[in-house]
Amino acid sequence: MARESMVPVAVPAVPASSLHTATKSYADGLDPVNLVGADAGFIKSSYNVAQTISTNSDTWVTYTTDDVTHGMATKSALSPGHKWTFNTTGIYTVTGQCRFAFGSAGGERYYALWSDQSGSDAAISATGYWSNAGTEYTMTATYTGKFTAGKYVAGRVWQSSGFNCDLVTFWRWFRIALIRKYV
Amino acid sequence: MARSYLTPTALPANPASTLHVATKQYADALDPVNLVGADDVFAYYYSNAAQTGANNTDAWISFGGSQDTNALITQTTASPGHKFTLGTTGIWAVTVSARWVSGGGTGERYLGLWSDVSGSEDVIQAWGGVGASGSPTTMTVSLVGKFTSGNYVTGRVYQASGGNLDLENGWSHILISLVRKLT
Repeated sequence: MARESMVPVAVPAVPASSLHTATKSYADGLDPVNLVGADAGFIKSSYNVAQTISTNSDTWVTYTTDDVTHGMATKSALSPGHKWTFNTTGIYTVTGQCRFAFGSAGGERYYALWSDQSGSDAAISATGYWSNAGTEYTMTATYTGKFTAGKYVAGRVWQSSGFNCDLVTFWRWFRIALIRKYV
Repeated sequence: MARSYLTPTALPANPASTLHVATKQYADALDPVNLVGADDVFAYYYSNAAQTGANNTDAWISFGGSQDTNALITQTTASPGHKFTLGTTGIWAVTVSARWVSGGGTGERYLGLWSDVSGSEDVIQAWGGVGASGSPTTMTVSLVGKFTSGNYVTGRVYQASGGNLDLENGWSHILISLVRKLT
């Protein structure tokens, strides 16, 4: 079957630079849909070294390795352990995790997100219960809500086995994600 | 089958300046990115006394103290305990914690976040398991979701230890943050 010739069609030039133009500008680079630039706030820390927790002693959890950092919060050392002090007021989701090793005896284990968000230090999210001697216990605490610039959040544990009990070398991490800023 | 010649077609000029231009105005001064002014909504209530829970009995948690309050979060009295009515439709983050002291027999312990968001009061998130006489049980539930203006949220607990059991003073608290208005 023979094919006929086709005549070229001239397509007018499209002024591409003026298409999809957003008329509102954000001086600090904020995007109305996506979190970009300075607002892509995410922090992740972890630590693959065991941490010994004394019996009947509240202890801050160490998250020494900084996998992702961001200026929305500043990490600092406790003794032992770490905390993050917020530099930006906003809505955040904070999730911390750790795993207790086999204990020498049964007793309570808990993990908490600790903060001074509302004036005094308190557990703002916590999970804990009885642990048998021969069982590892993994605990996660999460909180979504407001943090004010200048306030801190940290992970804190407790165990009452009557002996030292370690946090194991894996499954220990801490994440902070910025959901929305206050300005 | 023969094909026809294609005739050149003149396309109209592209009025690029009117394409995809964002024109929506926010009458109430809401900012699409940031929470500003009246959108900074946060409340923190906590227990200021131990609360006795009867065996096999659901009970609303009492939050006798507060650090942060907001006009869009109204505390009302249940019997016993408190509920919190949300004054605007939006995405809210709610975190409730409580801690049963050690004691009693083995038996269920649970904490629930209850709300009338679905028409009648019902549990919308809960944590529970078997408690132990030799250990406190620390519980947190945390939920982010849509609530309509007038809906309430509350913390509710239950225990089946075989006798009365206390919620430990200082551990019961509720944190409520407005994440985003839906207007």
